[in-house]
Amino acid sequence: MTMLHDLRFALRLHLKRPLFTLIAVLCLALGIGVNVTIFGWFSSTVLNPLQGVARSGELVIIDGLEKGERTSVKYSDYLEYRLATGVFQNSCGADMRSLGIRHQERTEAVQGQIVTGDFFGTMEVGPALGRTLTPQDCRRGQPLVAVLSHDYWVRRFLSDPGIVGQSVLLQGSPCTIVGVAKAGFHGSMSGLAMACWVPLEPYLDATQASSDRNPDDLNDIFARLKPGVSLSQASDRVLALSKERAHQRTDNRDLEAYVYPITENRHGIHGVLRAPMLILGFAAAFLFLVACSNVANLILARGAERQGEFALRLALGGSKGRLISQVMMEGLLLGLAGGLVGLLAAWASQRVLLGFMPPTNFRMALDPHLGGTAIAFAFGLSLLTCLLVSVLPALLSSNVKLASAMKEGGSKESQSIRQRRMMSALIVVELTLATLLLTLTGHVIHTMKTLQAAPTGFGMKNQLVAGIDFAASDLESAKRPLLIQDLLLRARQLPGVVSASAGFTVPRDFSGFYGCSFIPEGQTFAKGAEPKGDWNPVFPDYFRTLGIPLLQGREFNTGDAAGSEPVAIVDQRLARRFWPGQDPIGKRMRMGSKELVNVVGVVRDIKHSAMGPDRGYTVFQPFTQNPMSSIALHLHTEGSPWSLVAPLRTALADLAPSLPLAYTRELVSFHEGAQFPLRIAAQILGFLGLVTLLLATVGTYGLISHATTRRSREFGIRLSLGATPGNLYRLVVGQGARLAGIAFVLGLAGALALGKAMASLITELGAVDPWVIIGVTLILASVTLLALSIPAWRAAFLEPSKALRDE
Amino acid sequence: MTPLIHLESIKKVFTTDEIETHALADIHLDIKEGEFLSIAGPSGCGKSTLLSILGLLDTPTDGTYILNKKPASGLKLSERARIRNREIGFIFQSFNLIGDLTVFENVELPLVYRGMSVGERRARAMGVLEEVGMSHRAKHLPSQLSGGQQQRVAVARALAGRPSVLLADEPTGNLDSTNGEAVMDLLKDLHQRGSTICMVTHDTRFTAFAERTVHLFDGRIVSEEEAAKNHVP
Repeated sequence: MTMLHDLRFALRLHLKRPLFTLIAVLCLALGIGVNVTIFGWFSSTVLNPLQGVARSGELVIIDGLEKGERTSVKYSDYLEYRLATGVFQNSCGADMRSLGIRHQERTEAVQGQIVTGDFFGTMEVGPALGRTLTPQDCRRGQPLVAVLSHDYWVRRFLSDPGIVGQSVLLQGSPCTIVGVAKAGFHGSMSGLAMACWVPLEPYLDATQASSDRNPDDLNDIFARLKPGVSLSQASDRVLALSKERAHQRTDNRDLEAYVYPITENRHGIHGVLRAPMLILGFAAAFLFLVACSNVANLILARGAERQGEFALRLALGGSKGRLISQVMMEGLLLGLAGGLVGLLAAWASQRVLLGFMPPTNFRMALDPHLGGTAIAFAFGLSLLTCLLVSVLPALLSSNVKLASAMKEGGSKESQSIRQRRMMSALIVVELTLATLLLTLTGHVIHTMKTLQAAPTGFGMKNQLVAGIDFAASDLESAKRPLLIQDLLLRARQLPGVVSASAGFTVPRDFSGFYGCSFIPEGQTFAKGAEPKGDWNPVFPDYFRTLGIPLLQGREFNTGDAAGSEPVAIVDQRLARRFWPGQDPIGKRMRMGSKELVNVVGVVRDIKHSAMGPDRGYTVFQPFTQNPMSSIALHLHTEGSPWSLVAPLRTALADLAPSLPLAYTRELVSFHEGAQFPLRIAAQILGFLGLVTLLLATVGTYGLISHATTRRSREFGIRLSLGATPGNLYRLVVGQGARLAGIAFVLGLAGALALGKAMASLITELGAVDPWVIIGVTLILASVTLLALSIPAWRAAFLEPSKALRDE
Repeated sequence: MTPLIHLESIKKVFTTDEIETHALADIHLDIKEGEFLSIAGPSGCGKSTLLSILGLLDTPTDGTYILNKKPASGLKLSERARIRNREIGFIFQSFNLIGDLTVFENVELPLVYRGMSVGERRARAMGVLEEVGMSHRAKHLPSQLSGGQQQRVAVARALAGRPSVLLADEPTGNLDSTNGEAVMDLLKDLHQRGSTICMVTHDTRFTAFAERTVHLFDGRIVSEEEAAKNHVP
């Protein structure tokens, strides 16, 4: 009954002061809404990364560790772990491939997964049609079958229910469709949409000859733990097993295997989103605290005006506990209302994240949404809000000096020193958090701008990139380079083309770059310490087309064909490091475990990798000597690259009617998408920073304005003693500036510390630039001065006689 | 002899929501240097408004105000502040000490606004506190003092700037009779030592302390009376 009474009174009080209530609720809604949105994104893309998989956060992965670096375990190792550990309920392996599916005379290259073990059982995904794959399907000698994704079945087969049992050609081999997976499941590579799943062993049987990747490599091994088995127990068991197997290894690898939670999987979009989401989570938490500080200050200010009411309640026999409970109830109502509005705002903005995703050559399947956890989070945040905004005001409000409060009847003088101190402390908290957040925002934006402006070493203007995926054709591996050579010959004849070439990977492509290890001839390195670099098989004229200066030697030419002497072009950094003071032309190096290659040219360093640190060196080899499953054509054009797309399609159609262009993009779009985690963080942080700045400024203005109004009598006294308007202006601004000064120092110190932590999440972020600190300090100082100046001017131009009468 | 304060045809009209309230009308008043003047009258007659105009806390709607031979009308805010600081000392009914400042800080405040050096301020403030018998409470906050003590501190603050005139607005209004009389004794003592005092009061017991009493009614001076020269209440 008591609570109901307090609740009723709190509701009446809030309705009686609609402006106060509106401001408080909006403030909290902003704080809660932003947090719920980001939590929803984090939960649905990072914590539970696999869509359509029940309890995907409970999945674990088995991954290798070799020389301190994470690496995939081998298929043969996986088979051992699966059988011998006894800690897994079920497990599976999966590897993403580009697959050509031919149906009704049309071949299409799609993203698919080659799977083994109990893939669908581990994912706990059932069929929408037909059946899913079983461990039996994955055994050697079984016929090649496939399960389609629901999306692909709808898009390619127009939801034909008769598809089950039909045969298609997969990589040129007959393959029977045995089922369609349930809608919403897109495979085990988070963020990417797979079109089909194919069992590994039958796939290898059918396509061994055309496979250009090591069949022993499995990108990911997933498992579900048996009930009662902990992650560390499973990991210990797998590690012990991997050590036992180390003695039997013949591949010279010093590999240990561990079990990790799925959130630590190296593959998939969730790993990329993790860092920006964590940074945004911190930022959102700061925003939430600023919003709560604002509302706590509002409640404190109102509490000061209600001292008379509180004194009267105490005088009438009310206990302190009742007073506290009443103020808490008022906070609870605000928290719940803020939570509800915040949840609605979060629901409306749940898919905003998709707008920040960069263009990609993959088919994406990202579904940021608010699940039950996010709703529970919103409710929990509302309760926390109640505690944050009302506990201190409740304790302070209940601490009324009965006699004086009754005598003053709630006059403006009755605000206690403790209340004023508390309000000042809250302003320091707000401005500290705003400084911290703005510094970090400035840091991230500055870093992104610097990285984007940094020279890449290649030209980006008027550069068209067109992808071709050979999986979509029946073309033999050996014939692929010839096709591209013919296509490039035609492309060079097109009007408006300055030059044309092709390479396996595209510089700055965030979807990945190939690495290689190499040993310069005559030099020795410890096992595992061989130098590593980026690797790109390219066609002649590549460097001229991309505007990469050739510093020494020659470009590749048509003479660098399959069967001729293997050659390589290296970057300046590699040449200087391994052949200092020597002519690198004619030097040889061993690529991986393959043969020695002859260095025929040196080019200027370029920035290849989109994310993470550069591997340091780059090695280019002729595509003709290293044919791959896909290629990216590069056309340097005189004018807009887009005018060349149609003629290029026509040229390709003439040469290979069944082979489409997989994508067409400008090279600059790869560069723009390169810092994509940083870009997400920067853009959303920018918004959060602005909102926090606005809240902190309004909060500071509100508090100083409130305090100034309450001190009008004091200002009247000062004026009567000869204070000039300037004296009062400086007094008010000075007091606010002292609080702001403390906050700036604390905020900057926090930002520097947090900046270091952020750098460990996103490697591109180094130390906070001094210009960022200067810029943020200037912005905050200006905005704070503005917030302080308005009440300060009001105080300065008070009419002294009126102020002295003001009780 | 030129009066210290000369008011001529002073008028004050307050306008709120299109209603004009005539607080003061046609006030003619001279206060001589060293004089102790009392302004009496019922509540709402314009006593405090008149004192506010005298103290440059408010401006008259019309009329002439000469303070210390200089016109006090049409001055800039900073100039008015300077005159308040140097020429006028205020004593209020509700003491008007600043609660966050110590007794000493309250007393030195007008000297701070004057830009006086720290040493000089300290000496001057402690001097006037001793004069009113409050130097032993210099480090206390106003809330730690009784009403009578607070008013003594307020008097000390008014004296600190060595003003030409002390303006006292109901200085005993918030005090019991014992403390009220003590404060009046203090004012009398100051007057005897040469201070010019203009006091607003409605307490007839204390008007007798003044040499001359001006009676206000409905914003006009309705009578003036002089005390017997040898009167000692």
